[in-house]
Amino acid sequence: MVAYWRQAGLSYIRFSAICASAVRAALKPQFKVEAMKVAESSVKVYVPKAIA
Amino acid sequence: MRAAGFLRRSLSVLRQARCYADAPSGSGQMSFTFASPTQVYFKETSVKQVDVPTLTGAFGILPAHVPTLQVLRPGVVTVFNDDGSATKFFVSSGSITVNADSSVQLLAEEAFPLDQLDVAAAKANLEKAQSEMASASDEAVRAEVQINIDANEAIVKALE
Repeated sequence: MVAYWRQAGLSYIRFSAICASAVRAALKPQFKVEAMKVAESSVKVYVPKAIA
Repeated sequence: MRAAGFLRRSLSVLRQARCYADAPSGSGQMSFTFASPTQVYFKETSVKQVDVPTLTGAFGILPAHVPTLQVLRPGVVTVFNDDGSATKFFVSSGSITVNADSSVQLLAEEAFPLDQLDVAAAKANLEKAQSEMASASDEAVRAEVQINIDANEAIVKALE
């Protein structure tokens, strides 16, 4: 049985990321601040523009 | 005559005990490690049983469980401690490993005790996701919204 998200082309990593953000969004306010700080991505993606 | 000779020879073989499985060895202890990237909840602690929600279904792990590797889905992990008390956590996703020596490692992407989650916020997010579903066009976008819906439904179910 293939999972519906696998069939749509999503990986488990993406599934996990969406579930994690859903859980973080459902935290009580006093815990949410801490979790959001941790969840912030410290990786900035820079795609250089191709030269002509 | 030949049948009797055959029977005589095979009797010695038949007298040996035949076993199909080895009795499980080990002390009947289960070493449990449970952590998320930010928090360690159990570190090689001896516990009696752990209930986990996996992609293939929810199951309970006792000492001498068959070794397995599973991935988790959003759901409740219940840990039954040696003193008889049970603690519940909500995990978003992650993996669980049961080794041959009965040690269990549960690594969650996000894990929180149930009392840190807000059922009203989860219900609101669920409704928002369900309305997003109507406007989703692409199959991949629809799948992502469906994952969000499933996760919020699991949170609501866990808290009620």
